[in-house]
Amino acid sequence: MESVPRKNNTQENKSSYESIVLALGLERSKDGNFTIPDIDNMEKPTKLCDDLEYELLMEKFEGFNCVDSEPVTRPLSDTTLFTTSGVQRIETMLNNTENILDKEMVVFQPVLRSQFIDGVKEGYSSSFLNLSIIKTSSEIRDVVSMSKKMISLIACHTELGRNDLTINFEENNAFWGENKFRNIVISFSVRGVEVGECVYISDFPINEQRSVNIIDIGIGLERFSWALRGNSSFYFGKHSELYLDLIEQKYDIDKVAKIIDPLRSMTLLAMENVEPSNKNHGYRLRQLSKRFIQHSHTTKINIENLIKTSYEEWSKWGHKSICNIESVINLIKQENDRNFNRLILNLLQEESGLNLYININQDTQSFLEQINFSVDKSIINNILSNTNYEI
Amino acid sequence: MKYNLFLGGGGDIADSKDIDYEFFNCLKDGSQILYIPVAMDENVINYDSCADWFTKLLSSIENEKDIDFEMWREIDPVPQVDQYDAIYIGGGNTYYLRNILNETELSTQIVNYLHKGGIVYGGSAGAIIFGKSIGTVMEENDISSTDHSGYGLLGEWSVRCHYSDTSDDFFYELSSTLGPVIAIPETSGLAFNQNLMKVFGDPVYLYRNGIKEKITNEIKYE
Repeated sequence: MESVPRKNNTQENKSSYESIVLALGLERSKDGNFTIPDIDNMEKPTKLCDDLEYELLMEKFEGFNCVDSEPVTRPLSDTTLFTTSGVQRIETMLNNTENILDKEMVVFQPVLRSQFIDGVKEGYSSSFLNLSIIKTSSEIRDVVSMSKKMISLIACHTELGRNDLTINFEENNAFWGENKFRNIVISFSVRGVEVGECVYISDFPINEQRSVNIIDIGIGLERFSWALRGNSSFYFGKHSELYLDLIEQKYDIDKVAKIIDPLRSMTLLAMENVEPSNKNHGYRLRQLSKRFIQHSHTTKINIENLIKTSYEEWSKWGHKSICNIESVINLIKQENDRNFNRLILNLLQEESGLNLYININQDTQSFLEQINFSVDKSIINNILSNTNYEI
Repeated sequence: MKYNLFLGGGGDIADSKDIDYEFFNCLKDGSQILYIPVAMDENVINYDSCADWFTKLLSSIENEKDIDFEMWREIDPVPQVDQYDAIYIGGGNTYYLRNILNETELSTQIVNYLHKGGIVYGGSAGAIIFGKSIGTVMEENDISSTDHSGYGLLGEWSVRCHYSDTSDDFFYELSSTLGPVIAIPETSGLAFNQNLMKVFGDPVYLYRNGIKEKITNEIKYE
């Protein structure tokens, strides 16, 4: 299929939206969302799933080509330091002057969204696995067929009651680098948890003369699994033991998420050989470690287990690690030591009123030995007694 | 000389390096900055890009200080600014920024913070709000606001950024209606303390009473 000349498409989108609602047989509910009236007649799951089933996915999206994920770290010339969605693959293809027309592909892309580092809570993470199902050179009728496949994919994973699946529509302007275009966004929620969306990007500019329509179904796999397991489960499902342990210690569930999330994200970056520093990608890794220390320094956590589980999670859908698990663990532990030292140094300066010039870039034991020369031991012990450090 | 209010002319990281260096240089090791990017239209530049831009800015500063930052988005709880060692307010739409800071009462917090000696950097829109009137960027008044007041922390002066020497007539006219207007090029910035102002980077220009005054170093301000 050819790309088409660029055009103004606002009017087309309006009628498109109505035709999609009609073609999907949706009914508007009192809260303004849409539901599927004949959901009882839809296919039923053959077994209960608590994770996405790869075979079911590829069965629904037959003919789609599963491509390797990209690195999560992006070149400094890009607008973001990290890959933030699977559909960025199109941007990479354009940068490499590859053909982006007539593509049907699936990518399991780990992503990191910097803006969420300080906004993490249960259900919201700084990094996640973004399953992106992309169809280029598409038309409105493809939005209908792709949305039907998405609904079918959900239905074959979990039993859906009358109001369990809600669908919402939104139109917005979007920018991709310097490219501006309009989107139709159809979002899908299962029992109140948004699991994914189908985005119709109409008239996406390839160059100054030509454009292409793209459909991207984006699914956050952690959220998808969370919704399948039901709302009494935990968002980071593979870390349930840690949740239970910390909740027993009276930790708020959002606080547990704030402990797990930075270590998961650090693991992802360390797998790509990002080294902590005060610059760019390394700065982010350092920042994640600081958040982990900030939220976890008062409790004992088996960091190795947390990293190993995270490493397995990222690897499960094919993301390749440059570093082995041992070097990932070492790197993270070393950086956590540094940022624990920073925390202790700040507290000591506050407590003693002294300006202390001690190198924090060393293991905590050596750091504490050095600090013993400058600060009264009772002050140090008093501060350490409120942390997980064993004196 | 110790300054605590820094105004950047709105250039990119390389353009504003002199004033940026001065700002980061006055922070102590281990500082925590509150970064406020809410002036930016999220449909144009999303918050991931803002956070990464700020990371690149920090990365460009050649010093070994351990500086951390938290970013405040409108959807986040309103922060307590005195918990931070410095505040950095980014550019975008000045009217929108002024309104959101007023609605959340962050404006009051920020002004009090400055009065107590807190360190604040404003770039472009983030700089303009500290002048007497934000009517210097009337073209950004998308919401047809009839209130053009800034925080008035620079006496009678108002501020406009992204200055270029082809815009003299425009600035003379602005100053004839708004009073003194300080014009900051993208390659420059200003640092203030209680009664002194110093230029970092290219000269800035003060338009008042039909006269254009070139400022290259340190002066007292009204």
